[in-house]
Amino acid sequence: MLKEISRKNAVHIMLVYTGGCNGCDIEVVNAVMSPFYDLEQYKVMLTWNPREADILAVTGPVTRKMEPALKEIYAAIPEPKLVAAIGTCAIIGGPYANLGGDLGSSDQIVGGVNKVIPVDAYIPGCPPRPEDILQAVASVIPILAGKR
Amino acid sequence: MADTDRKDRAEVEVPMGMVHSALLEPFRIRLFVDDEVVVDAEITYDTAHRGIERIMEGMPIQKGLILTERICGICSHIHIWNGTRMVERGLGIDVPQRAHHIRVIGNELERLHSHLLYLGHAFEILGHETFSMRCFMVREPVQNILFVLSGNRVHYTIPVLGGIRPRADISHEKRQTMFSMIDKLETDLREFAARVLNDPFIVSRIKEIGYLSKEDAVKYGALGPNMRASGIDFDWRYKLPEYRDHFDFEVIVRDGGTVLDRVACRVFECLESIKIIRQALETLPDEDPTNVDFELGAMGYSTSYNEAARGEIYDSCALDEVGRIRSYINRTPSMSSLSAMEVSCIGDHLTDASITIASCDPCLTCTNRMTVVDEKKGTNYVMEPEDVLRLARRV
Amino acid sequence: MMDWIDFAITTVCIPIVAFVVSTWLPGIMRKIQARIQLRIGPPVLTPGFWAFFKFLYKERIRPVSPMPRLYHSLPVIGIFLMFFIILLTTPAWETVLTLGTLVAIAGLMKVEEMLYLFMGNLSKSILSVRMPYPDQVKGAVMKGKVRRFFEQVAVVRTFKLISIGSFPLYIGLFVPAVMYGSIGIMAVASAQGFDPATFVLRDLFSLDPLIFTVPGAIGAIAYFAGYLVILNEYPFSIMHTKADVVEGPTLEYAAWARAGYYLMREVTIFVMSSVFVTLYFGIPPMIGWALIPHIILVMLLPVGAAIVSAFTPVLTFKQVYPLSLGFSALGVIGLIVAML
Ligand code: SF4
Repeated sequence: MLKEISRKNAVHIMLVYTGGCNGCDIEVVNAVMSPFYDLEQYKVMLTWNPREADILAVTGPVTRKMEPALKEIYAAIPEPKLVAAIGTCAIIGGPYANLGGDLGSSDQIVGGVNKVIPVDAYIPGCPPRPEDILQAVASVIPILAGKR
Repeated sequence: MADTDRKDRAEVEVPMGMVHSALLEPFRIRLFVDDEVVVDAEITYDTAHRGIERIMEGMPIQKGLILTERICGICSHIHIWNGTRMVERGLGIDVPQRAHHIRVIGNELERLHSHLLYLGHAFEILGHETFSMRCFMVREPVQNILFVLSGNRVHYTIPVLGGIRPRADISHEKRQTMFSMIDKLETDLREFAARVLNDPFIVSRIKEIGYLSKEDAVKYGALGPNMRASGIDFDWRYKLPEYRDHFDFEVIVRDGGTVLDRVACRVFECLESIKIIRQALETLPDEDPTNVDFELGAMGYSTSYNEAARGEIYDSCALDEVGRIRSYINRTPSMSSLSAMEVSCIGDHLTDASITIASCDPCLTCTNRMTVVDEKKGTNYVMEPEDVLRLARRV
Repeated sequence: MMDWIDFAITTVCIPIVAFVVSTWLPGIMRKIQARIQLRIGPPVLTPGFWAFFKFLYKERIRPVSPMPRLYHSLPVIGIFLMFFIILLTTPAWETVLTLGTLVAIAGLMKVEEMLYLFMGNLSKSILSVRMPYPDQVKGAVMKGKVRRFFEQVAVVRTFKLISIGSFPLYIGLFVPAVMYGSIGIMAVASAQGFDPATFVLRDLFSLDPLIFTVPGAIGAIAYFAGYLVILNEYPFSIMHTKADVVEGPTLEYAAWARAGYYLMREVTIFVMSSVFVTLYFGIPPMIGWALIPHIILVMLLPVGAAIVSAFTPVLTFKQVYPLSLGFSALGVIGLIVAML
């Protein structure tokens, strides 16, 4: 009882940029930091410490260099935790993993985030609008509250 | 002399990154400190390497140009504009003046939003949340103007070979809306700039740190506002016919070379950008903005330089007979600016070092295309200019 | 006998009051900052109260630390220290134990500051050295014998802050002692006209608070500066600034230990402010009518801290040293004026 209410009322979100084009990053920053969107009024607070986080927001395709780091950071978050993949790149790897000319698509990309860690919420768009990000984050909070 | 002694004596290393509140983008900083004073620094950036130039090899040029936008989400317009401009130069395509004007508007709006993002981020690092928020408050209208102009907030995709996309054309109503939005933006921006540059705490934090002398700026190749804040008067906008012949603006040059100068330089550049946008909107020629009368075909090695928000950007490529990309090369300013920051943060306090590094406005996603990873040997190195030339000559 | 019953009730109730009130404080501070930043901000209970319970219900993990148990027990020690400080300032404890002196409080506060030293040395978070990245490869700069975690950088800073930064606080603590010629807390309070046995709300206006005298006002300013330092609020948050060390010594706390850390911080905000009210307004915390004005006045310092911190960036030691020396000098002036 207290568990669900407290989880609904205080959520910490951590951002990890795994090497996208920055487009998603600035929209996430916009959603989090700009007074226009202000994620905090939905009881979601920004943190940079995986030990404090509940939701891990990942933007950008996972590059080979970032793969171990992303795994470690995911492991450092205590349960219950959710992962939100923001942007086409984080969902399927975006143009880097799917387009290609003579030499094929990029081999520096592992792919979407779900190839590395389990993902709970997908937020499509290139980049998604801040409103979409807010809505998505607000709609995953009940899942978080329902976890064991 | 004493300085080099100190450099060698550094015993403590403080690594930062790749996930860090001050860096945001994934890169790795290793600071070597004596007590808490930085005596040596190493910045490694290869984590965001996605190999975009390699993907583009053999793509149709129109498709490839859209992909250039995905190099960077902050300076997306300049990438596609410079790419388009390069091909237009190579194939001798005529571009209507109206299209040029709209491209310039796009670029200046992008400079505005990029500089404001930079300021917001800098205040966040300084720990001044209020100013950071205010900055985003000023920035949001810029994104709205871009939205009005092109229909998208981040990847606007305005230029196309021979002109601009029809959706980004500026109709009469659009022009009125943009005028009124820009007026509002200018008052907000002036107010904010006055407050920032007069805030005693902020100024005491950023003055006299991160000093980059004129010689070092030349030696390490700092670009854009970083270079101009160190007293070098150079701006590609002076040289481009799109700007030179039509607009009246100033290039901000400051002599200090410190973080304060870099910040102030960008603040004043924002005001100049507004000036340019207004002139462009006023003198917008009335004609068809797109010229479709050209043939794609084989193109030799063509180049183009331009002034992005962060400094000089360079694109080059060749096309084969059916208009497919051969050997696309794109060089962005952050790379050399970052290496200049490697020297300029020496002698600062640890906390100041991170604002110094951020003060060159690093854009890692642009920069990271240049790292070559040799997977078999497990090493990596950053390309030198000779390597780039060697690659370019391979065509 | 009455004294002992009173003592027992106070010992149980005051910490509960402190807990309840202190969980509101971070939310109030955050809300004020958010309003200054022209946004709505989180609901008042979110940052303190609900976050505390949320962390209690998270999975218990083993921190990466050479001594996990000691590391986890430090916030608990901190909470008890703080409860001990506030109990020392109550009249009930004074009559039974007569321990409530300014020296005891200053000593306990020092211990509280020292806790951060231990925390920092015991924590090895993922964000710096342990990040999986090939730092030491061929071609990289190869020097430096020690690779330092953020926490250890923060320890160096804590040490500097302990030695210099919190000086104004201690001077602010002793201005009342000099003024009234006693280091006993009850003596200070009763010198300002407070009588625990007969106090009713009407007496509030017949008090003669120290803060309205010249040395008191100067001392209060010094105390406020020291308060910001000891809370690591902006502008003195160099120990856990986002610019480099992210969160400093507390990086590895997760789940219930983080809840403990949150509570420790909240209680510190409350208790330090409560001591201020006791010394400068002459209203100690006690079970009785005096508790109401006490708690209202306790809000003063956190609100002030929130406003100051919304308008300042984090200062480096280049600015912290002169500032804290300046505030100490101000405090010393207060001491001299009090002596005259
Ligand atoms: S989804 Fe689009 S905007 Fe986001 S990182 Fe990928 S390319 Fe950039």
